[in-house]
Amino acid sequence: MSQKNQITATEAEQALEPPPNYALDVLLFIIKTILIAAGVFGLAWILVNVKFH
Amino acid sequence: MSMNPQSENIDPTEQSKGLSPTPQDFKAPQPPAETKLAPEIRLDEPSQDSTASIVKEPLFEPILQDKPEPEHEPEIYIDDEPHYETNIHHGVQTEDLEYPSPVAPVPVATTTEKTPKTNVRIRSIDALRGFDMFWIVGGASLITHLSKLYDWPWLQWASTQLHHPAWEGFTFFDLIFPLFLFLAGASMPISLGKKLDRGASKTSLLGKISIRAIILILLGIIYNGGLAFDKLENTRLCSVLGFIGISYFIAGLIFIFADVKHRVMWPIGMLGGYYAALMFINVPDHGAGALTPEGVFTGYIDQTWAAWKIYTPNFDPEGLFLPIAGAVVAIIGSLTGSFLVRCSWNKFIKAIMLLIFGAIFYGAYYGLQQVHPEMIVAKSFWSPPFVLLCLGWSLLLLGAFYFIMDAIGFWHWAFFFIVIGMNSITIYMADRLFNIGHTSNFLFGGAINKFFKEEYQPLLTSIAFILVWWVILFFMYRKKIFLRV
Repeated sequence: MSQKNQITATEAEQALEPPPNYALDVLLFIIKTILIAAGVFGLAWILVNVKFH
Repeated sequence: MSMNPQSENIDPTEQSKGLSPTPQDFKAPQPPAETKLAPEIRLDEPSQDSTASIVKEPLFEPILQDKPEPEHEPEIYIDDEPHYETNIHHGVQTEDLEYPSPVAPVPVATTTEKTPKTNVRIRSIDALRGFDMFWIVGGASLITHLSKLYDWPWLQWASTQLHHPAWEGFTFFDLIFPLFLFLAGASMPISLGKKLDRGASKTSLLGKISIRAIILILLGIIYNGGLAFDKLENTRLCSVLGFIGISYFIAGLIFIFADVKHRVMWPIGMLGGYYAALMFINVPDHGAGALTPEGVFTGYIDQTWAAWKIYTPNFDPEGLFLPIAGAVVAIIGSLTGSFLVRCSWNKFIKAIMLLIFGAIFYGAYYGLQQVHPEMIVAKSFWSPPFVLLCLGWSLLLLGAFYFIMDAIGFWHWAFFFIVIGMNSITIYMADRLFNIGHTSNFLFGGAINKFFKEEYQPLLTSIAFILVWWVILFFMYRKKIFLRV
């Protein structure tokens, strides 16, 4: 009985979880990668265009 | 051998302390649970009566999924940090830099978690690091002298690989430094990952890698003669060790705070941004995309920002911006280390995967060269094709070493390199601090000059130099002295 309850609870938890959205994951991956690239590029640009001495 | 659901009745802390069993330990064996079997444990002295055996002998070790390695490590492998040991933690396999002690009690697996692989060691990382350092501490000189004595084509080719190209190009000598960084990254899941597994806070690890970076930068300055306390413009602050320290710090930061997905994202983004900067940032008087010693933007940053001496008038090969490209190598190394440590695949498959990934990186380099040949391969500014090429070779070499040493288990041949690889920073610093050439000349110079023809003397002097170095490192190895930052 308790095992049956556990299974039901697990199933309920799974049902509550949103299904994975792979397209969104890939999109986020690309956007974040571009942001990192932009950060490196921006750092380089600042170091070239701002003179320390 | 026995199966042991009843092993759950034994307090593992008592076992680990080797205490006498309590009466509860004498419970009759229980039938195995229907669905959950406790991991098998093997007794050191198998007995028909499993219960009696447990009482008699508290030392257990988990049965391995893989065939256990039959040979025992020599005494010198006992305890200290720089050896490998696999721990059981959260049902996953972790390895750290310790060889298991044959005398220390082995913790018993008493949980019902999936049995992890244990006793797995990544000897290939130490050996490959030693192989890498070998060329710095005399290997290159040895091959050069050999090539002067013998006219074999492969030897002549090998001797051409032991010099850095002036600017553009790639030789084996260019690989030494990136390979070291790659291996430093590969060790990260073993050293930092172990601490994370044991519950160390991320902040404390951040402190550790920060201190490590600062020490490496200081050691690099000392290596470059910083203790002369000369004027700043006569002192070179950029160094190989400082480069390693900063790259390791960036890679460590990402390792500690990012998940695997982001650890993949960072090197791609960093290398992409670096590529774009090389192509599109306008350098005064040279424009954008000038990949020459005078025009490359990394050199311009060194010229304008470094208030200290730089290696050449135009750029420093360990310049200010370059550790970002170096960090890409270290991050890919850390992903490789995580794959070797965390992945439960068969070692042969892991070795093949390393070779496949090496080929992929090599293919990426080759493809990039076809698509954009203007982006040259140059170590002096860690060009993106250079990074891809080094990653390809590093993965191929590690794959080959891992296949031979860890998958097949044929590792004794590499003991020579392991000894070197265990004290890599020591050998690098000591080569500057102590005149080993003088020592080897003092010990062997007379005999070499007396008994050998003049043409062979440089070669024998090289061999003597390596021998002296190796004996020193072997002595440290025997005494378990591993100087690490």
